Amino acid sequence: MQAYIAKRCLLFIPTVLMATLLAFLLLRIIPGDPALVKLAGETGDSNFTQEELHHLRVKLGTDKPLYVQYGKWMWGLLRLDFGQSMYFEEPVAADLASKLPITLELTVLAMLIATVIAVPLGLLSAIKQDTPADYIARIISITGVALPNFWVGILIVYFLVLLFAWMPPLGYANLWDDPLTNLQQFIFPALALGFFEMAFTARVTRSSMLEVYREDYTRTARGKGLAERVVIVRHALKNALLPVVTVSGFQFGRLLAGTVVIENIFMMPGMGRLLVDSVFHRDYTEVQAIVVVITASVLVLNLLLDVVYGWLNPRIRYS
Amino acid sequence: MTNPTRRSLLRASLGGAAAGALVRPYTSNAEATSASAPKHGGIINMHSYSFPPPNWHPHVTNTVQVMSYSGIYNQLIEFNPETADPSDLRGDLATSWELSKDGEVYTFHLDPRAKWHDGKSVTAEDVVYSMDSMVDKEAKPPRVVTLPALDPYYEKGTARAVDAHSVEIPLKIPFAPDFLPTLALDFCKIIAKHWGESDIDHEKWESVIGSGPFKPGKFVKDVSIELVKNKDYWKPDLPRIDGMVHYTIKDKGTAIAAYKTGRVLMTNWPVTNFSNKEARQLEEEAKDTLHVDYVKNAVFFFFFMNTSKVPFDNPKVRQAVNLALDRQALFNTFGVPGLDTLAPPLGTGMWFGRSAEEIAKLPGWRQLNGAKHPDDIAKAKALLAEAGHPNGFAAEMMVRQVVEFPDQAVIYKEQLKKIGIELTLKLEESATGFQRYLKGDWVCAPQASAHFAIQPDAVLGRVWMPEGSWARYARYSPPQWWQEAYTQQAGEHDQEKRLDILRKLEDYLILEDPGGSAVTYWTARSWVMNNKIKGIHAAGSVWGGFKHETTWYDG
Repeated sequence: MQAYIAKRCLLFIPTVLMATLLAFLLLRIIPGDPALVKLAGETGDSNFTQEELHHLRVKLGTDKPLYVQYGKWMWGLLRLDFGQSMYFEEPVAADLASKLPITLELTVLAMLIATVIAVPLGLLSAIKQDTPADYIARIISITGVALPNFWVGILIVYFLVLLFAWMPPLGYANLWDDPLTNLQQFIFPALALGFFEMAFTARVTRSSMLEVYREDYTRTARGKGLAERVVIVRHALKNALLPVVTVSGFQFGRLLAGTVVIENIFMMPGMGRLLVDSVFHRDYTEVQAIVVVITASVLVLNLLLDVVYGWLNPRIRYS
Repeated sequence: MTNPTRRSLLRASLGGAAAGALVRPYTSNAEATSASAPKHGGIINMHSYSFPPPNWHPHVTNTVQVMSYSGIYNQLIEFNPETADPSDLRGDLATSWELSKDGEVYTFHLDPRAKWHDGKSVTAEDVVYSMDSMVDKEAKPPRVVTLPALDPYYEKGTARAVDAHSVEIPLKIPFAPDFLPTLALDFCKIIAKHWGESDIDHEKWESVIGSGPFKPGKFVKDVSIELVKNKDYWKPDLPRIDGMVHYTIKDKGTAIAAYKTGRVLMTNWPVTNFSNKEARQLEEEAKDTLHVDYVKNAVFFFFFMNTSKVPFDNPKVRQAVNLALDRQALFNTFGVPGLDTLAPPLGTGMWFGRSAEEIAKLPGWRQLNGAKHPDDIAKAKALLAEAGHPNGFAAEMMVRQVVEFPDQAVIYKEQLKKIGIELTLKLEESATGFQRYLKGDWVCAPQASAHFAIQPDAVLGRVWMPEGSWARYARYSPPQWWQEAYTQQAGEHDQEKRLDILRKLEDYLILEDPGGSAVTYWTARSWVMNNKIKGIHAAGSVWGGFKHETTWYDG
């Protein structure tokens, strides 16, 4: 196992390297110039000269050849220095430190909601196969898979306003300072974000449960005279959940990516919103840093899940 | 108390009483305009469409975001937010002011009670320092986009402190009737000399010092900007609210939800992500909750031409386009009757504009049997032939992907096809578009101009005078006589005489050469407000009325 983990950790290097290269190049391919955005301002109609534009490019380092810019950035990354925001000229690390916890809280809550709803829903759907309960559960899960999360977010805002003349409080309240306001701010975005994952997990749970439900060992357990509840919980469900754990790793990455849209719809000051704003500002250093953080988070989490998977299923051996 | 209007003040000042003091202090007249007495207290959440600025110096920030921290500072004078007359001006730091008999020097008298947040007095030296800062063309970072509006009137280094609380500001153009409404814009902030000259980091929110009714509160980048009440404010009984929080909301649907649920109570300036149609629809849907105040004639749209590029370097080609544009069709698509107007460069409905009846007869604007007048099309074709393009020509139209420009571009393309001009649309991101404007690397484009002050100097100066930003982008310089006449009208205090000059200037743009900008229609900007917000009305410009010292919450 240790050798496996070490090997996986080594594989992080080319993966992160590829992600940095892609993020770096894609930002340079899309039209725009950080110096120009900063000087021109939001209206684009600011008073500046070509000379001032050139000076700012020199200051930001965007006048240098691409390989120099990339090398400088990578050298900073190796020393865990994300650099300065090109637009606000403040340390990127400080931004990430304040935004990352918000995004993580949203992601974890979305995952929690998705799992808490999905597993019982999938279970119910499998146990009550081809009954009205199954049909309802399937409608919910298929709807969830079909609807993109930004649309779910918009619908949630719309119905909250229409039915209750209410929407989540603006701004951000820290979980430890004001848990009630924090919950009001996070619960609906988390629902929107987790809806797809809930639906997908419910589908996986259902099909996995249906499969396990027909296995010999389940039949044996039932034949031994165990109560149906015990058969389901102790024998079937435990095995049926293995694929669910597997997809959770992928889901975490998807959820992190989903925060980009959801945080903007619900005005949450997390990393997703920072990413969008930074793209608007052509704040290369900020965007690159966020991409690296997201990539690293997904890689680490996937590794953790693989380890957990091995622990849950003794038949799995990483060698 | 009945307050005189800016115009009556102006008439009085120019009518012989120039040496006399014109007392127009900041006294509140809310009682006269509101059914109930103003209340104190409450925090107002505002919808901000813009990103926060990268620095907090009001003269050199790169955005128009002063609306979210305007309350930290005062101006010399301001648009009176408590009256519905958008041209009404009143003193802010100044308790009174007078113009010398020869119209060359304004003297402003400051309220001796005025003090900075650090307790020091606001002095005439601060005003001198601020005036020079506002017109400093060498400022780094570059000045805020609106401040060049002051350049025609004030020369750096000429203001003088008469005593601790009186300051003389000489005018480059004697009398200059539009100087005061320009000075009343929310960008003309008076900043503390000791703050501006100190080594303090002006980009640090906590270091900002003003003399205004609010102080910096909590700033959360890209989320909110909070202003808290200055409890030691030098104007008694003000501000009325305890503070305000400006929330950046870019998503239109979320913004609408925030208005409907009362999470935000007003926009922080009249330019939002709502079109006028959408603002009106929102008002109809939630009329029990909110209303919309409009700044009329705030902006005009135009077909923009680079006069240094073939074929638009030829005035005949520009005039052909000017004649061929079907403005009524554009207006029918984008305009909101009652708010927007089909009008030439000097608009309609203002003292310097033509009547709708007159406009309906103008070449380029007239119609026949509900369609584009055929004589205009014929004349446009003839002009193109004279310019050496009997079969028209092909050109690229650069389209910045903001507001209605992409949709307008499609209509322009169809309209100009009728005289043989084939436009190829090239979409550009806004900042990239401006870089092309700056470099001169463009041929034509759909464009709009938000007038700094809705006054002739600002309307004509920014678009057609060589130092105006749009004229610079278009590489346009009008004939010498036109520039001289422009300067002459800017100093003409007899309104009738001024109007005569303005007509000649506008006639040239309508009948002979639109320069770089063929105006199509004018539009209002909308200021969405909860019905419980009181003590504020839209100012005579989209760039005014952000200080909120008299704003109150009727909750």
